[in-house]
Amino acid sequence: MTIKTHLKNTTVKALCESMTVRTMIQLVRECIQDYNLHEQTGFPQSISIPSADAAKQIVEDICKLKLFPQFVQLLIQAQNIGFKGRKYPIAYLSYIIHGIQTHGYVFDSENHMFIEDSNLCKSLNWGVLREGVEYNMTFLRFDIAGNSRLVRSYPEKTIKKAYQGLFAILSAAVEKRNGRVWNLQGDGGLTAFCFFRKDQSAVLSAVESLHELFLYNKLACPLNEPLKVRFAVHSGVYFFSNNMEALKKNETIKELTEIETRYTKPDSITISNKVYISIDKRMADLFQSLKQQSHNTLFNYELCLE
Amino acid sequence: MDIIVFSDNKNIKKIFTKIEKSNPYKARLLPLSELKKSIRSLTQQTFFYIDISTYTEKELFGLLNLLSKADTLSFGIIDPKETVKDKALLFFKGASDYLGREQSKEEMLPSRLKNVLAFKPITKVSDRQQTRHTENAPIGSSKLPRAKNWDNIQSGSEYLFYMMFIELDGYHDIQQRVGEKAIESLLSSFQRVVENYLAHEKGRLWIWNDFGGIILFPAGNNIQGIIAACMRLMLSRRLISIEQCAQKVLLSYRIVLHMGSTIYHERGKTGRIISDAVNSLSHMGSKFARPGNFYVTDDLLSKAPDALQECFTKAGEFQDIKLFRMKLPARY
Repeated sequence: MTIKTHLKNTTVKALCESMTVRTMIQLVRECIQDYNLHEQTGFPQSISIPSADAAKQIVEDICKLKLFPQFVQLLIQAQNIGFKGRKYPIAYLSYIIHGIQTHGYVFDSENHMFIEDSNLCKSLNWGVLREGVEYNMTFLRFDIAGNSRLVRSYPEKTIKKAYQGLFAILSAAVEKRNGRVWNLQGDGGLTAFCFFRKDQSAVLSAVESLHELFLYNKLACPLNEPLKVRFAVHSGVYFFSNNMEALKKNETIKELTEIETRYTKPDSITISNKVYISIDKRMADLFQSLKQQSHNTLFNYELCLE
Repeated sequence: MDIIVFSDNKNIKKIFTKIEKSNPYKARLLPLSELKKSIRSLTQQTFFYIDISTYTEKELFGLLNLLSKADTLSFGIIDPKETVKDKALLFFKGASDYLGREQSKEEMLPSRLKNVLAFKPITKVSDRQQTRHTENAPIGSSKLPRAKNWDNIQSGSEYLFYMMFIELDGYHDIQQRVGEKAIESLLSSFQRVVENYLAHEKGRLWIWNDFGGIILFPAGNNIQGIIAACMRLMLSRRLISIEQCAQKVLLSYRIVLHMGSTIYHERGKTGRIISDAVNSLSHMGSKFARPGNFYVTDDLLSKAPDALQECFTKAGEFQDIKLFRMKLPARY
């Protein structure tokens, strides 16, 4: 995303009018550790940098590293909550916020973060997650039951069409709740949720997918039998990486995989206790506690008409 | 074959003495008060006569208008007083026989009845059931147009429609639990949800009272998509309650899907509409349907694929219309 010149200029003015160069440096170091303003501007260490030059350089560097949304978040925080023990009224802040929204970002009030507007763009990191940084995330994993048998029993074209139908259902349910499809393998996949009511969004996506799959099986599935899918939802810490191989090593993902493979029946959804306690009661009531002694913290919803 | 004679005069049955003696006909006398109720249940191979000696000409043509809409019915008129001036009009309205003053005094010959039946053959039960499974088979009146799109539907004309009744359950309770502003917001959210879920199937809100209403679908469309949309609406009630309504309530609603004809007027101009089908549907929705359930009439469900039919179970009859209820998840 390229930040337009007028927005950059306003941010420069806002910094100059709202804080000292020292505070600017402290603030920018929240985004870029070890940031050295003298090095960046070329001013000798012994000379103090004029406020306008400092602000201009900082905004340029922030934009170059695509950290502008995070930097605006810091400005909001400095004004509303405070920074290093003091609140800073930031000039032109409402103009800057409006400016960033016109650049395709929306403010996530739960996490106090700007994230990309999913109506305009859908990148795997929501435009803001940074490599190697720890985030609290919720994951929805799904798996097609009896994939090997299905692949042996039907022509490749038919299987591909059936699975594409399922993937379309799942992607629609996930993306409309600001989730991201991270991984679609042959027989399943993984989707991620990081922002506004992430646990609830993941569970609602799973429930909607299960219901839609039911109707898909009745009306549109090209197989001679219903496509049966297991869904599992779990949340936990994840160190974001663009390399999807990192997923396999993550503890939260490992636990999720276990919930799905060991405790979830086809045509059902299993959610962990962590997720269960944070979702709306009206949705939680749909789930029933699994009676396994070792895993009494799991909850399940099975779609079976009677 | 059954011959039913609707008359309040017991002597009128004498006309059919010879007919009864010859196989395979069997004549039965029913009072005129049973006529309207019986029209709906005449699904067997039946021919019926109506004694109109107690009718005024205006009442008679009102009755004939009703009969002409049900094109599967075959009937004759017994007019001992010869009150009908233009007899041909009776045939234009679908009658197959006319017994005037002279014929009402005589015993009818089986040969006459054969001619009458040949004049307008009665659809056999098996044939009727087969045609139900054909995509474009008529239900109700095949004479009426089935539009595919709303563009082809004109205000003031009569069409066949798929009709859906939907209403929130227990709205008196909701009214007591939430404030006036909240209820307004809840109802407008509910209306919007219904519109959104049915828009893909060309469903249009037609009559809408505060807590529900009637939605029309042009009858030239595929019924399976409409049934599936209603099922989706049922399955999604928790998603809808959480995501679409600002109030912390768990919505419950009942749905009935039916087919019938009505004169179409735009929404808001429906005050003077008189339609048997709309009337029946409203009664099914308010008197028969249980809270939180979705019903579909036999005629419509029989046109859906087997896979969808499996999701329904028999729910009984209302005013001689067989209804099926959607099975629901154990936790719903």
